[in-house]
Amino acid sequence: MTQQRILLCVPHSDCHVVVNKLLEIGLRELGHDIVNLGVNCSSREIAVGIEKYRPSVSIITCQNGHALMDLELLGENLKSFNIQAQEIWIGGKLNTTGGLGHSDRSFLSQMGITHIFDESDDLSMVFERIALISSERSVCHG
Amino acid sequence: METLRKKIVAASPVPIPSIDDSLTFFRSLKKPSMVDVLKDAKVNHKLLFQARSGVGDSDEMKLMLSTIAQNESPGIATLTIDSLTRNNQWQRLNELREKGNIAQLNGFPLVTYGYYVGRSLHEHTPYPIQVRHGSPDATILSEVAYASGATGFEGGGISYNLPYAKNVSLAESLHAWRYVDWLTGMYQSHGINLNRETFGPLTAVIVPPSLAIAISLIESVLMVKEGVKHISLSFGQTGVLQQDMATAKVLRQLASKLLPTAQVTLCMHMWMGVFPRSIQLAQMFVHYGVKVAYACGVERVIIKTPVEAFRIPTSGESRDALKFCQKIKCPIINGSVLGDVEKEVYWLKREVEELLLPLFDAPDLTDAIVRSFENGTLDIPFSPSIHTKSRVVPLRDPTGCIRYHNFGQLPFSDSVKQHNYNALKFRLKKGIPIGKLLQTDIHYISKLSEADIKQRIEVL
Repeated sequence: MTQQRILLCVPHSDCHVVVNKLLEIGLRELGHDIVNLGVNCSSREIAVGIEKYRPSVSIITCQNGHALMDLELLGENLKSFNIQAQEIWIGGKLNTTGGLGHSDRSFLSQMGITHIFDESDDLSMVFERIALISSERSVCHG
Repeated sequence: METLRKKIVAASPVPIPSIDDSLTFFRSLKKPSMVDVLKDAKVNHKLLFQARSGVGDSDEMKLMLSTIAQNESPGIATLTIDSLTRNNQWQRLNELREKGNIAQLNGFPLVTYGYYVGRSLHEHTPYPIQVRHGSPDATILSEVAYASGATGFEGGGISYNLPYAKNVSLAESLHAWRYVDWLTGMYQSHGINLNRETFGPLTAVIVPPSLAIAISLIESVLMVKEGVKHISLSFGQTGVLQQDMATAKVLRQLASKLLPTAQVTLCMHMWMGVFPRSIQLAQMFVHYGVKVAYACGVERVIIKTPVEAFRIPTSGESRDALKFCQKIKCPIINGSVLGDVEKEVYWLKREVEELLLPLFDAPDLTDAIVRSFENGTLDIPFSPSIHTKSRVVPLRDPTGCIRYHNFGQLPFSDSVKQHNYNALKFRLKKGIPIGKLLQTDIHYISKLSEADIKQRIEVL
């Protein structure tokens, strides 16, 4: 298993940091290199972060239900930095009504999100997915 | 402050009426104020139930207020403000309004609608309106809230900054909130009774109660300095009866010492962390929360609904949850709990006093607060702010009580440190990584079984 660089952030209007901090502590304890942009990150700040740190995975966590609104320029910003084929995951309360419809999922996918964790997903599912990527990369490298 | 008011009024994206105009409106309101309702609860030993409520669309908001008002006992209506207003993002709010997307907001954008709409909300509820938000700079919001006839306003320069914002300096937020308190005091001096409430839950997840109490008391002392007379001290339910009862007791004891001129009431927030995902278990936990609020002797409880784990509740769900809570009877406290409560009170009070002592000895309280967060002698765990160290790491002990695992730079005596260490040593000796323990602790309530919750309810 290889150690990965993982970027963590919370969208622009959201200040809920607990899941973000838990991921930081838990992933760091597993030896991963963590870049935590923290809360209130604009789409541009997220794109700049991905461009600058080149993480294996970026994880966006949300709690205030504004994610769809806050991330509407993410796709555009990623494109402006020519960022492609990046693992960008998102999870938490993404809208105010609970549960994501097909159009919401498709919107997030267009914005560059490659995996959506449902609200019912435990944090352990994030760790499992990171472990999977780590083992895949260690096979590739080795 | 008068000069500052002119600047704030000029910077507001919507008109703000004169103080005289707002005084006339307050006096014309044919309903009790939040202070009246709380006073009645205190005198008559009633427990008030309050639901959060806030949606983006103004018609929906009116419907929500009138739906929630359909319950039997008098309470307090809430206007929960959206995240964009909390951060004064007026331009973004206008864009959303122009595009017809304002309904997507997670709360009511009171400033964007302005005080005319704010005043019209009173026609849809017989109860006084309290504004709840999370804004590090609520200067404009407070102006519009009071101009709208709100008689309660939540928050403070610490509790609405460090748990809510990434990069707002504490000096800046304390200055902004000094204005809110001055404005409140100014209305008070004209005979309008207004309630100011602290936000005790802070980051709302396993926050050691002594930090929450200390910060609430500091903010309240600042409120009183500006002429505030009616204060609600709030705290978040931890999930452990003896710790919650001790928190309420210590808050009352220290408030009578530090806020002798203020009328103080207590408000408990039902557990604000991860909620059970089973509707039945969530309902049981709400039931337990009501019993705990009774046991704590608070005047008011901010309720949760059984859909908490999934989404923001609808107005019907909030109304039904209020009705459910109102049916629960005041418990008779099992005497065996009281010994544990007294032990908790002893240590909790010591912790709070050790946190507060250096501050109240300082010549300038505001400067001392800023310095304390800079050097870590005051701290908030899991804070998103770059203006606090956030070095404190809490953990639950085997009974579930929240203790300090890492004290950061908090100025605790050796005996307080030893007490916390002793409480946690059993869990720590197993060598489980802290990240894993924290995950377990954050899900402590959501993972309770039906038997666990039943047992808790039966103790009361």
